[in-house]
Formats: sequence, C-alpha cells, structure tokens
Amino acid sequence: MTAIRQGWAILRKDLLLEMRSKEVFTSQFLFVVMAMVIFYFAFSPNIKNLTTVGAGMLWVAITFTSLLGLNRSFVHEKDEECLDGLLLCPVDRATIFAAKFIGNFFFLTTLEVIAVPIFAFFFLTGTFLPNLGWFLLILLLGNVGICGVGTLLATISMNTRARDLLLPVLFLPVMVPVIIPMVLATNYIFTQGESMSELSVWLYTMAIFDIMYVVAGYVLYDFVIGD
Amino acid sequence: MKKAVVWGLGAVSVVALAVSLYWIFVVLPIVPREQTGFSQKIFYFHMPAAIISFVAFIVTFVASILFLAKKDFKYDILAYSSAEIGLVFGVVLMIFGITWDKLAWGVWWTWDPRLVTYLILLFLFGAYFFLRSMVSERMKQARFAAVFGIIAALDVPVSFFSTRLIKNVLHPVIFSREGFGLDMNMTIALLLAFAGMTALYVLMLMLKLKVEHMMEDVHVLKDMIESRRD
Amino acid sequence: MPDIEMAPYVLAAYVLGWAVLVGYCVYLAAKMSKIGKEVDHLKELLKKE
Repeated sequence: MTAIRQGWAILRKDLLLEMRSKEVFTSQFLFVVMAMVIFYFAFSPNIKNLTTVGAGMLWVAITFTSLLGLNRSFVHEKDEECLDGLLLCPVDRATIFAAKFIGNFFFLTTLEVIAVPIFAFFFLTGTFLPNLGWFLLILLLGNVGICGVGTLLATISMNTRARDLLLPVLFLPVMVPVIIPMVLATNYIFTQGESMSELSVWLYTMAIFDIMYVVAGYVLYDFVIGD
Repeated sequence: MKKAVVWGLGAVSVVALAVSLYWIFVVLPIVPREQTGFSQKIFYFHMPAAIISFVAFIVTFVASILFLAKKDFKYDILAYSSAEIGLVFGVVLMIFGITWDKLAWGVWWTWDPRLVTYLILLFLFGAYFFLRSMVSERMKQARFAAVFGIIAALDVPVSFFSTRLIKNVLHPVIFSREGFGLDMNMTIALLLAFAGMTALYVLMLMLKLKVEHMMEDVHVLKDMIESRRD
Repeated sequence: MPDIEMAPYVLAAYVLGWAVLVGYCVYLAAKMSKIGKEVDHLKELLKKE
C-alpha cells in the first residue's frame, strides 16, 4: 500500500505543479496546433484532400509535441534538485517510474482531447465519429507507448551531458514500431473505415510493443535514475 | 586468446568465402531474367549479413542484461563490441540492399519495409554509441548503454519479421513450411557464404575484444605509473 | 535490366561490401599492433621505476 501512496504523492506533485503554472500544457498546445498548420502548408500544394495524409500529420505532430512534455517532466526535477531529494526517500525506483509514467500519460491525453478535435475540424472531410471507439483505442495505445518508453528515455537523457538534446535521438527510432501501426490504423479509419478486422493486426502490434516498453521501463528504471 | 584459434578462424573464413565466391559466380548458372537475373547473386551474401547482424545485436542484448545483473564490465565491453560489429555488417547489408533495389526497381532507394526497418535498427544502434559518448563516467555509461541496448534490440524481431510477413518479391521466404526453396547448388553456395561470414564475425569479435582489453591494460598501466611517481 | 548490365552493379556491391569487412578487420589489426606497442612501452617504463 505504501508504494501506491508514495506514487500518488509524486503524481499529485506533478499535477499540482502543472496546474499552477500551466506552462507545459500551453506550450505543447501552441506547438501542436502550429505544427498542424505548418503541415498544411507543407502538403497543400500537392494534395487537395488532406484526409489522405491526415493520420500521418496528426501522429507526427503529437509525437514531436510529446517530446516537449517528456523533456519538461524531468528538466525541472533535475534543475531544482527535486530528483535528488526524491531519491533520498525510501521509495522504490519503479514507483517513481509508475508515477512519472501516469503523469505523462495524463498530460498527453489531456492535450489530445483538445488537439484532436481541432485537427478534425481543420483537416478531416467526412467524419470518423462512427469509428470513434476504435480511434480512441488507437490513441490510448499510442499514448501508453509514447509515455512508457518516453519516461525511461527522458530519464536517461536528463542524466547525460546532452540532457534534453539526446531524447529525440533515442526516442524517435524506438517509437517507430509503435508509430507505423498507429499511422496505418488511423489512416484506415480516416479513409475507409468499413471492416474493422484489418485493424486488429496493427492494434496487436501496438499492444505488444506497449507491454514490452512499459515493462522494460518499470524493470529497468532502477538503473537509470540517479547516479 | 589463442593465436591458433584466431588464425584458424581467419583461414576458415577466407577459404569458405573464396570457395563460395567461386561457387556463386562460376558454378551457379545465371538465373533467368524473369526471376531477377544476375542480381540474384547478391542474395548469397545479403542474407548471411542480415542474420549475422541480427545475431550481433542479440549478443548485445544478452550482454547488456548480464551487465545489469552482474555489474561486471566485461559484459559491457562485449555488448558494445558486438554492437559495433553488428553495425559493420549492417553497413555491408545496406550496400547489398540498395544495389538490389537499384537492379530491381531502377532506383537506389525504395521505401520497402525490409530496408526501412533495418535502417531504423541501424539508427538505434548508432544512437547507442551516441548515448555512450554523452556520458563520461564509466559506470554510468555502461549502465545507460545497457538499458538502451536492451530497448534497441527489441527492434530486431521487427526487422526480421517485416521481411517475412509482408509479401515482397525481393524477399522470397526461403525457409517456409513447404520446405526448402532452393536447389542443391544454391544451398551449398549459401551455406558456404554463411559459414565464412560467421567465422568472420567471431574473428572480428575476438579481435575487437582483444583491442578493448588491451586499452584497459593501458589505463591500468598508466595509473600504476602515475601512482608510482607520487 | 539485361543481365550483362546488371553485372557491374553486382560486382561493385561485392567489392564495396568486402572492402568494408576487410577494412574493418585491417583497422582492428592495426589498432591491436599500435596498442600492443604502447603496452610494451608502458611495461618497460614500469620496470624502470
């Protein structure tokens, strides 16, 4: 029980911190919307119906935005030496991972709740509301993957010389096995959306990698946090 | 490290590879153009290079786990040595791969899954070495590299299966449930190339490990000399 | 692409690929001999002190 209470304390701290300053959320929100706008300019000369590239655009925007959030979740810990303080407490390192992971997941999902409807408004012709359930599932699976491995890698990169510069180098290749099925599945929903059985392959792939990445993060976190 | 083993391996690999080259270019007939023609000859070294690079990265994976479990630096040295050799074989594979693409499709790069997933794997292990360079302290470097090595190696099955699951004329699945898809001559060529390349991998690994241990010796000796001077 | 036109590409690929492999082995061997000399040199220094 103590582990849960400890984890909740850490999570609550992060949530309170963010709710007071709202700096990460605001910057992420502006970034993701601007990214979408820039994608529009990037693709509009050649592509009239943007629904065809919609899935890719959405997930590229979200992936890069999540980098901001992941970096930030550890930068002030390191700078304010909060991390050292945390490590002095008798808290299981894996609990810290769990708390950070859930925190990141919550922030990313909150961002998406606002960003995705804006995306749909800007770029999607037709609607994917009939398949909303599947779309939410894809979103959730993607978020779990991003936050699971992202929390671990952000911790690693924070503890190196390059700090937040290293995270994209580590994170993006690792995310590819999650991003590919994610984009394929989302694209299927946006453009066709009839029989959902084809989605199952991609959903399973995402689920498998999510499980692997979260388990790896949970088990290996002890080795990367602190010196 | 026994010199006999090293020279033996060297000899084995040279002989096996020389014979396989002879076999590929002289003994084997040129496959008719409908079935990819002369470019088919690339396959005999392309496939062993792929398998061996996968094996090298799996060695890194296992060595990383062992390092985290036992904290013995020899596992860390094994991990990054194997990763480096894996990258070398990876570069070779890319050379063969893009040549195959050029001959089959007329362009040097197509976004087909096998090349792309393999390229990602190479990026992952490139990032592995970049991570190492960003950490100065030895123990921390080894720890972080081990964790990332484990995560990076999770991509090996992705690359391996992408060549099998996605139907692709460039990658006929040889070992399928219907049995062997090759005739005797081709099998011999493939096995020779495979044997030669495996021997080469082991040889490279032994040489690389020797180099790394010698460098550790240099550090130890320098420390001893410094301490003597004080 | 006719077979004869393919041949140079295939041969070039082989040569390049093998150049990489052999080159790496040569690089390792050279490093080995260089460090070997340094190890010997340091050992001699150690004996003198």
